[in-house]
Amino acid sequence: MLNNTNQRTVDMNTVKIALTLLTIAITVGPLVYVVFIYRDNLIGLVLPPQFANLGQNLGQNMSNGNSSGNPLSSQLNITGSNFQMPKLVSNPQYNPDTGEFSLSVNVTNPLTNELSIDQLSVQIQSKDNNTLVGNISIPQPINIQPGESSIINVTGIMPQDMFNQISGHNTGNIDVNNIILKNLDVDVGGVKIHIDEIDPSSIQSLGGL
Amino acid sequence: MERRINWFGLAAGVITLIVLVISLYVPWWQLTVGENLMEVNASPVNTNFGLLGAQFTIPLIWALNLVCILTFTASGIVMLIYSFIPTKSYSKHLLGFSYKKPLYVLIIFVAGLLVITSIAGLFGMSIPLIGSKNLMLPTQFLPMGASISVLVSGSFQLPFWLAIVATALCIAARLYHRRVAKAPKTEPATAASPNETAATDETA
Repeated sequence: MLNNTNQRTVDMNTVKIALTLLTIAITVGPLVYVVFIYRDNLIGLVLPPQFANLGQNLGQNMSNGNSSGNPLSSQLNITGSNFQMPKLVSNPQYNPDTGEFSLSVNVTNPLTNELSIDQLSVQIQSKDNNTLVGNISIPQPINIQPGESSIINVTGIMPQDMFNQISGHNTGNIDVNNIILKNLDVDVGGVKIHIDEIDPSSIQSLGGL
Repeated sequence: MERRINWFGLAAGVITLIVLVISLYVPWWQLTVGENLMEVNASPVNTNFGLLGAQFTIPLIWALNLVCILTFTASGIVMLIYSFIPTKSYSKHLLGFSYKKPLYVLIIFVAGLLVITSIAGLFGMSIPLIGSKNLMLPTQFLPMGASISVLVSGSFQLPFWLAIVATALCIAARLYHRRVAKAPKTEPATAASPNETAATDETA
């Protein structure tokens, strides 16, 4: 009878100790492992590896004193994403006879679902005298299939004299140093963005203008 | 001798392991920004984020997820073992180890969600735990006088509700343990003789 009781006590203690050790092992083990892996780069513990390049670029920019501008446009590089910054397909076109202005932008849908661009409109203003030169917008909503690219035509009307105000000397193209973009409205993928004012000359990625 | 089984424990162990497997593929709670431009797939066993079609995880969260995977696995298996031997001297230790784990994980997960959404609320971003909402990002953090409005949707998914069921069954197993462990042992059933039956009838 006494041996039986002792055996039960031994069993209970054995199980209790085993379960305690198991709890400690499964709680501490993974955390110690990941800290060991990232022991030389503890920031990496909380920064996804896919953003390592972005973090490095931002760090370099900050150390160079360049904290303004548009860092995302030139540095958003997410490993595993097909995201690409929208690119101008060609130089903007202007028809002096009709006053029609158009530019084409290549947009890629990095998502696994359809991407809708319901609105894209902006006012162009002359930097010299702050007069409204024209409005440009997409004529109708656009849907881009997953992983595909689409050319988006942005069009607007500009009177000849207004166009002359903002075009470069003898180039026939808009000089980005002469304009300011006002009231940019974008509705893309369920995200509505409004920006009061953009100086396009500060946006490096639109240098093609 | 008839084998005693804690049926609540058996069900709890099975459902805990089912929750674990489903949670590897389906999040407990999902937050979607816009048309899947950004996703948060939160789960104690597999938390990841989606941005512009890319999926990524944070190493520290990955480690915590691994802790929860091992915890759920151990809890489910130990609960299954316990449920078949609820009368052993060490059974209470097995039960004590296994029934609390899903409860703790569930409480920590819900508390974590509430804390994170509350912190976001302090910065002017009221994130819905359930349902959709148009969220205005705080303008003080945006350059060029920009304002951004996004449609944000949050929802709890199937594994979350299954985890609640598993937790409830774990607690039921703990409560049922008192009965199953203290119930008198039943004697093997024997066929009553005609004389015994008659005597019983007379007594009645």
